[in-house]
Amino acid sequence: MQKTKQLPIRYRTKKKTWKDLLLTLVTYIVAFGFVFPVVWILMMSFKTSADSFAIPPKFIFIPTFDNFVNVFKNSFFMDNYKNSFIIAFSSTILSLLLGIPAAYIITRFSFKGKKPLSFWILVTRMAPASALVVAFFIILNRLSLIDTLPGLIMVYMSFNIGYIIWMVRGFILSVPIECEEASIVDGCGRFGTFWHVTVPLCIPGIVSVGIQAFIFAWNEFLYALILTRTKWKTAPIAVLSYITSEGIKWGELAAASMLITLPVLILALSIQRYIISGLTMGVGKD
Amino acid sequence: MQPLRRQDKKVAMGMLLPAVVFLIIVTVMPMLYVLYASFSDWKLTKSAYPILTGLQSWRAMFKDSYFYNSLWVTAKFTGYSLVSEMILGVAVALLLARDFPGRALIRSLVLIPMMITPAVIGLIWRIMLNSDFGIINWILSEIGFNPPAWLASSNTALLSLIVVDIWEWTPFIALSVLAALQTRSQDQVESALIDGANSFHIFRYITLPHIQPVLYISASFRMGALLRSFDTFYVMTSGGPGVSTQNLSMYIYKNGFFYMKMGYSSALSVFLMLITILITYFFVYRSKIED
Repeated sequence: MQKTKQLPIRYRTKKKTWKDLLLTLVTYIVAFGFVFPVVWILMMSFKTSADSFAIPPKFIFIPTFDNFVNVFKNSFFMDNYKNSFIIAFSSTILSLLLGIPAAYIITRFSFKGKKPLSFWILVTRMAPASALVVAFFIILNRLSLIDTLPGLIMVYMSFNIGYIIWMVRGFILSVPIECEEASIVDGCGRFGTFWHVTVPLCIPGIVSVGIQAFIFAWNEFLYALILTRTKWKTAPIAVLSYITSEGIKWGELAAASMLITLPVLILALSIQRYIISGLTMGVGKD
Repeated sequence: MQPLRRQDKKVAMGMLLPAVVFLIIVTVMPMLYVLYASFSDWKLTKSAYPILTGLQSWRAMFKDSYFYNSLWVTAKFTGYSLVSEMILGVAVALLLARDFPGRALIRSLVLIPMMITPAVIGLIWRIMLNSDFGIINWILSEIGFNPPAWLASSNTALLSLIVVDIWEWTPFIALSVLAALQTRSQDQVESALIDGANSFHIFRYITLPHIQPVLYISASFRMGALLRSFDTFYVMTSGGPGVSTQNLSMYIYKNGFFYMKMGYSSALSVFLMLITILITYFFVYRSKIED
């Protein structure tokens, strides 16, 4: 790929015109549109219920922490919130352990059936959850794994391993093959080379892929909806329980939503430059 | 890339097989299981196992008007969302590629919608679209419109879901295209300018061909995701009002876990899987994963 300077693109190098100013203004408005809904709910999470329902809507109000305090006091939600962390974290670590070595073999060796195998691994990632959930429900039910940690981890690994293999493959490709050859000549062996040379060189990439896998598991909805009951329910399902038949606790709903959003935002912004290639799994970047 | 030599074979197998075997267990086996179950008349209320009855579920599926309705809802949702996201995505990318104060910050902010938990997105928009105290209807009535109850009317519920999806995923197209724009050759643009090209010419003959592969790939990823979308549907409308937002995923869910018709739900699942595999094959495999 041809590398050019990463400078801002300008169609013209003329001085700023009113047209430039207008386009900049439009850019700000568009960005505002993408952020506003989140900011609005963030504000709502600090409002009393009278303020949340006020017409006209209140942009300036005296903040209250009651909603957050109530959510923190809600041990059901907080347990489910903790579940989300446990499930997302353990499924990510296990997926990395299985995925990284496999990615290495797929990247560095040629063997019969490699291309169909790679394509199949890609498909496992794209497999629609709504089409697999019936089967997962029956299988986990037979194995008495519904609403258990191992059951859920297994299912979450099903969509993260393929993703990890494809992404890590890209990072391994960028490791100079000479480094590995030198290590093999020094008698390090295949696995030693992989472990002592390739993996350390890929650590930044592996961390970013791990974070993304964590986010995917954290955000997952349908499997958690069907395959958990009470004990291992996750936060995205639990938050819906603020919508009850007697009405909706809007302030607490907003506060709980923000608690779910917070870790994702922190993690996503910390690895933002990897996210875009991540969402298309690095396809087409070779 | 080295071919696999004999002494490496054991190591390689040890590194590759665990992942492959695991993936077979958690993806191929469930797929085969739904395929098998699709040939059964299997209601969880009657038996815990599928009882093979042949093509019954499939025949029922092709006679089921709700099935066609769900296909139509899925097609409308996918088509409108995809086209809007592609067009708006390119436009936003061109805006973000310009030089303006606060570029880095704005690019980070634009990332936010697509990272947020989809269930939370559904809730956020349910609150904003609420017809009694939602801010959107307040703004619309202030500027003189008579806004509908977006999610409660079968005329506007699907439209609302499309708008939410556009909000959520336009940034994805925009940032993908933006990354591609930054590798566009500046020399080419400048020589075109010298030759008297205007900005439309530059877009049509230099920029568009350059970003085409990225458009292709991101469109196919979006299409796969749009075809199977479930989360915002469940949170915002649950398929209603009536069946106006009951897409294929929603219909699978309802048959399987509401009416307990596992056999029928399996047939629908196989159908969705086939569509997805075909699309993945045509868009991704044929274009871009050559080594």
